[in-house]
Amino acid sequence: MVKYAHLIPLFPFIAFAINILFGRRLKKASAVISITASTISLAIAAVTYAGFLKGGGSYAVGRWLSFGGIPLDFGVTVDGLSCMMLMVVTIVGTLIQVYSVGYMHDDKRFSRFFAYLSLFMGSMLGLLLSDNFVMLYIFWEGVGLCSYLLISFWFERPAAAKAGMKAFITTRIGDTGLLIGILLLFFSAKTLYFRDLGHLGINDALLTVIALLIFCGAVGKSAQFPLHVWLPDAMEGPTPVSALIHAATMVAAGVYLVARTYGLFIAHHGALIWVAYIGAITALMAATIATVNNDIKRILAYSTISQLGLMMLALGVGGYEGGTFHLMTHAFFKALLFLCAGSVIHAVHTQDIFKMGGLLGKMKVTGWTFIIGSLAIAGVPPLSGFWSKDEMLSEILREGHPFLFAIAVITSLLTAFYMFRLIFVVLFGKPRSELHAHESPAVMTIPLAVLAVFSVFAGFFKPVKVEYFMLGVSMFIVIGGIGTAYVFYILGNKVLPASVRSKFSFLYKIILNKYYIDEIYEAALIRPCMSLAKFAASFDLRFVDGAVNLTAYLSMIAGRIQSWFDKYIVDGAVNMVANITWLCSAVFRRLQTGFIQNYILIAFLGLAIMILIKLIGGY
Amino acid sequence: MPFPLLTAITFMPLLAGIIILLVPKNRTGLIKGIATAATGIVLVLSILMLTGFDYNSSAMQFSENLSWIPQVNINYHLGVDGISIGLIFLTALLGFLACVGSYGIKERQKEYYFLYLLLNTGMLGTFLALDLFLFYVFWEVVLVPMYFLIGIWGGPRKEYAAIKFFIYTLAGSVFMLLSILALYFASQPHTFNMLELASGNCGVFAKGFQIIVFAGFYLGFAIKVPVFPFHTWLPDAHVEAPTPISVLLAGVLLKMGGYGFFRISYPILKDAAIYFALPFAILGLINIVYGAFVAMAQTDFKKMVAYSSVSHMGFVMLGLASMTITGFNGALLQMFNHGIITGGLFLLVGVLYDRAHTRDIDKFGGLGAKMPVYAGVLTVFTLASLGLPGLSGFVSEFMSLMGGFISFRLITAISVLGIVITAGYFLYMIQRVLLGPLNNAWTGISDINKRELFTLVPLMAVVIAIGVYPLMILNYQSAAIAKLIQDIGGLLL
Amino acid sequence: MSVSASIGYFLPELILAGAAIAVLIAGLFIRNKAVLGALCLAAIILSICNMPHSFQATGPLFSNMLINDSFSEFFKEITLLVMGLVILISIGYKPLDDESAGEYYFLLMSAAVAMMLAAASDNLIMIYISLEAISLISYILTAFLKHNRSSSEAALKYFLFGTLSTGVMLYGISFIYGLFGTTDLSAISSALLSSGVNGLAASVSLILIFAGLSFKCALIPFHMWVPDTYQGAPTPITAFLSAGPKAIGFAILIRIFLKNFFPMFPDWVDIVQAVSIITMTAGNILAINQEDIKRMLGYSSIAQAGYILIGFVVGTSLGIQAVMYYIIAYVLMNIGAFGCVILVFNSIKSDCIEEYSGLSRREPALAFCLTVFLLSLAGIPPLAGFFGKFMVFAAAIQSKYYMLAIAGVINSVLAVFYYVKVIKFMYLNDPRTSVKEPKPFPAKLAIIIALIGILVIGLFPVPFINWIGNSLL
Repeated sequence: MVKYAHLIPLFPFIAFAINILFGRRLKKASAVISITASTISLAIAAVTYAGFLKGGGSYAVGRWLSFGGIPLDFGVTVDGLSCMMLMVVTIVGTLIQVYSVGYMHDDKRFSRFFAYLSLFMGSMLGLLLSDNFVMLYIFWEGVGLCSYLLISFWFERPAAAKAGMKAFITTRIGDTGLLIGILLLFFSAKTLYFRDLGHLGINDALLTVIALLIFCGAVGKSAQFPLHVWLPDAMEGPTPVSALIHAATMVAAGVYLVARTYGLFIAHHGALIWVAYIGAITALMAATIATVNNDIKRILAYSTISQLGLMMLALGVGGYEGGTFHLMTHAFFKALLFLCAGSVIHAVHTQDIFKMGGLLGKMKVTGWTFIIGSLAIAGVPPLSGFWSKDEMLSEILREGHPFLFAIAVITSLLTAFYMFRLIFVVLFGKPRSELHAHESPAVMTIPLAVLAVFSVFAGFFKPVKVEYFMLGVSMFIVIGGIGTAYVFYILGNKVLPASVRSKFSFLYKIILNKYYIDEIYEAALIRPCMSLAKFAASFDLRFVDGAVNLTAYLSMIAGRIQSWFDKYIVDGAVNMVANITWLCSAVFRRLQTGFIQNYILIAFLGLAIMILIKLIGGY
Repeated sequence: MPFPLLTAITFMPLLAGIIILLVPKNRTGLIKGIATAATGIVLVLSILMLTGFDYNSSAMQFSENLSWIPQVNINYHLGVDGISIGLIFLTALLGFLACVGSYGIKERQKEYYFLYLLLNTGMLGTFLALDLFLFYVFWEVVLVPMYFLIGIWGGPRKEYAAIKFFIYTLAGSVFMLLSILALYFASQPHTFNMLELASGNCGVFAKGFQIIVFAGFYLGFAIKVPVFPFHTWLPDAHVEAPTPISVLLAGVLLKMGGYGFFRISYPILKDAAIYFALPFAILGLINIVYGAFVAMAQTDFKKMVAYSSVSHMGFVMLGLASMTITGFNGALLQMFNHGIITGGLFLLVGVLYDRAHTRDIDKFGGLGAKMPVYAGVLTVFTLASLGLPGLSGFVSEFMSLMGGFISFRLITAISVLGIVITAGYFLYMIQRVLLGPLNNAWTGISDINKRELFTLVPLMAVVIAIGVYPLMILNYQSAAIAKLIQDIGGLLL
Repeated sequence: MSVSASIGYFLPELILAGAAIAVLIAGLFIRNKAVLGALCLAAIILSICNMPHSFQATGPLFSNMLINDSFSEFFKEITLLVMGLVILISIGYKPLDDESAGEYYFLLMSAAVAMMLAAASDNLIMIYISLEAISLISYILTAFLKHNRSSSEAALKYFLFGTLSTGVMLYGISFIYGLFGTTDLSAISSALLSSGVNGLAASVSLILIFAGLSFKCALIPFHMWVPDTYQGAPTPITAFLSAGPKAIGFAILIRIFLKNFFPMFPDWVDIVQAVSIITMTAGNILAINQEDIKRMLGYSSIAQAGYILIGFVVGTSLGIQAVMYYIIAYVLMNIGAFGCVILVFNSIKSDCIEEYSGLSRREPALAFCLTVFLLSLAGIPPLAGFFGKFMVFAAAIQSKYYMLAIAGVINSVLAVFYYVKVIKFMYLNDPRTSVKEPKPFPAKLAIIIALIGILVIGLFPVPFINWIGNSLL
């Protein structure tokens, strides 16, 4: 049954080809094609999963390239990790495509949207199945492309156009590291296959460098500090895209990459601890920003960054199980949250949470699923988020990192706080502005309901032994986070947040401005880069090309000087001589000009020089 | 005697050109027809050549060898192997498509098509000649029609660009001529035969001699490639040339330099090639990074693509410097891919220019809404050019980098940065041209038409096909490359 | 060989001399330059047919004054080729009127005889006399347009300069006579081989002779007459001067220096090498800024002489072959170019390069021909000019004259600039007038012959190289 795994990405690719070529004629039918394709993929993924449970494995499909005699096959890897992710991606992907039918129903580029979604699905599934670095890299860039295309889908908006570019370039900076890492790996170990990573037989220092370079790719894709800046901006894309690509699947690819190449990381802990600390910084930083942001999608975006940071943190301390578990659960509830946010935006046409309020009454399904998702992410037992977060926390502590554990706990606390800040502000209280909210159509609410079910029950896919200490910590987090939010936004509405804000105005300002990281990049990287480009261009024009033109110019000048010499010096002397001869001789006066004598003089001079050379040089 | 396929490929355009000279000036339809038919036949013949080619063999195939000037042992010697076959197909393909792309040329058509066809013969001959003298003749034949094609049908600064191109490239090639002569007199018996010279049957050359001769060839080839700091003719020539000529200039002419390294410098002057490996790698790096930076600052669309060529050809240098099978394969493939991709990009710039009569990137904006098909095609070529996996540019850049990495880790690692900058300026271009709100000046602009699409779709098909299944073309070249590496003592990696 | 026995080998010259007198007399009755020209052409063809074509030397003629070898025959044939072409383009030259055509052709035919004698001379006195004869005739021809002031002025300059040069040469010859007691070249070479000679005196005398010949070949610094004379002389005569005397000059240079005085090769080679480099460089640089096409071609012909001199400096068999091949190519392309200049002048009445604007639109065929000639002069393959340069550079590389070769190639790049400038005006600029003159057939024929010639000997040089190979000294 496993043998059909390579067909999983195929159908979305076919759907992409059909939609991009005939999209204009297909119109709304293109959604049917895309959804059908991803449903087929889902079915095959399920079959593959079943096959895997019976004992499947990896296999090669065909030769792609060979590097100096070392062949590179296009292969498929089927293991627990890939099967889990395949299921997640196909389920979430299919649901989101269904949702998109409603969300995008009056968009003029409807079919193109579905074409891109299919391309994304194909690339993402290919990425998951890849059994070597080159194939992974290809699909890795493929999903990056789709992300670019979909972020700037509404390209008429300058912000969307810019955000797409920012996403592509920022992730590409990370990918450059990944590429160098791949090259380095190939030439140190002569292999590009994941299966060989456990037994490479190269020295530790090199291994650390390779692992860190590969981690660079993950940092870019999963929006980890310091390459996280693109993800909040990516919210300019349509909300289903944010849900699918920038919450559930593509951004998780970085975590997936670390998990996939875990053999490389655990071989030497020098690299792994970097993963942990980068994750920790990211998690805390993004969580703090989420607490002060007012844009419904950006709050979720920072939340995503933060959660991905937690996963990295878990992986970095050796918590493979917890990290990958959270990867799965997060996909469900974060997709759910985004879709809920989309549904809200769809209804109220604004993204500022302080313009909303009291929506729960008008949007029952959206509201309640939103709450379920928030409970899940906050880690309320027994929802899925609780199990995975619990496992991560206990692993961090078990591996002996109390400091990182504290960060993880604070992050989780903040998570619960900002999520319920969102819930309380958006769904409860009174409407803050004139909004004509209405519930979204069934095509949008049904996926919400399905995802809510997954968000609740996904935690049971993996049996986890509950420790009482951890349960206590979790309860503290949940109650602390939600309780504070309740105090701030329901009880002390308007007064309390403002007074806290004014008390810590300096800190507030820094966080509100996202730690000025964008500004720092602008000043330290983008502007210098642009000036360097300008400098190079003017250098090229003035100096390099200038040298060429100077040569041409000089030969022209030489020609002029010689002509001038001929005309004026010789002629001038000529005129003088002519004048003298005019005085001396009547014969030469008739000649009027004395050209000839001078010419002859020069000829004689030349002759004399020749003879002189002979006399001095020769004898 | 078998059918002289290679002679037919080479001289078919010239023959058609002479026929065109006999056609009255005002029969433009007929003239176009003849030119299109001739380039079409060349394309068909080159496909025949591809199908008849045995790619397990590294030997010359379809060889033709006739004595031409026996007193100085000059032969009319043509042949094709894995190194040249891709470039010949590239030339034939671009030659045909650019011919169709030339229908937009409205003035002095008779002269145009004659010169165009003469140019084709020169380019094809350069890739097919196996005799150094013959090679040089074809090499120079390319200059003259190019001068006219830029000078007559070019843009505002056409005269400057044309003469600069002519003088600059000639200046390089005359030193190549001296090197050719030096090789001739150093070989025993004296010969111009590239294969003989490479085989070592004509004596082994001293290292010092090789270095000097290599330098002579280098001037000729480096200017064509172009390698920093010999590249400044290129932006001028590209910008001023009419669209189809820019396509050939970027698509084919630049490859003549790279091909020269593959066919002459490296096989014949092995020791010098090893001696110059490090400078080559450094120059490759400079080309990649410097070219990309300069491209980033351009506001002229065509100039930006021109500088991107400088950057992309850096990968060829890097692959060559690596002296590895992977690097060589990458470099050769990069030449082919760059020809296709940049050819396509120039066609696309031309499409825009024909409608807007400006190439200033900043003057566009939001064209994606008015020209969706154009936007799609442009995006595909741009992505291919910035090395997106799944499209052809990636494979060759990746292989060049892989090869380069074996020999020069640091240089290659820095070169990889060029990829980021490339992504930067291409996407920045896309953002300014296609995305954002529609600039009101272009509300009436029409999307790409059928003829234009016809010239682009085949190129796009090749871009995608090679990106998805690169062995399709690598199979042709790998045997010849492997033998070359073996002969020059490179790394079999 | 005695006088009477020699006459048989002297038939071509006799035919031309006879034709010269005949055309002078006929000119009194037939006042038509075309008819008279045809008569001359007939004589030239007849003369070619009577060439011995025996490629073994028949030894000295006329009491050792002349020698009949294949080398001289080669240059005689070149002379006849030049003459034929010059006569053809003369017929199409408008300022030449029918009245004086008889004299004109008489002078041309006489010049041909003198050149043939010069090519075959084996005695320094004979060389001097025949060169002087060529010069005298050239002076008259330069001034042939009596009413044209610049023509007369050009002739005067040419005359003064020429007289001086031949004087210098004569001075050198007298040195030689003093050293060897003879002016017979064969005798001198055997004396040089058998016994020693005062090297300094011999060198100085050789330099003096070289100076005299440099005037004929227009080498720097004996080139000053060239631009003024080329510009002022009637264009067919410019074509003649740029091709005929130059070819003969090189023939004599080769005969004296590379055959008879070859043992002294090391003494003079470095000076000549310097002259070669200076000649081509200065010629090219001076040509760049010229606005008059005849003046430009004048400087270009100086530069071309510099390239030819490379082959002479090398002095090997390949070098001499290169010189001879280059001369064939040079004669064809230079006369072809001047032929085109004449036809253009006929319609626009100007030799100003700027006036060539848009010629390709007005007269595409003519522009095309001129382009081919200029590209050939620039050395673009596969034209004859390229193969000539190729041979010259090959000879230099073979004998390890790398400096010369490098100077040569750099110069050939430099030269492209001004040749292409003319092409630029013809093709890239818009026409200023739309005047179109009917073109006389003979001139067209000359241009076509030259055009086909440079294509054929460029693409299929085999028979020509064989011919040259058989004509070596």
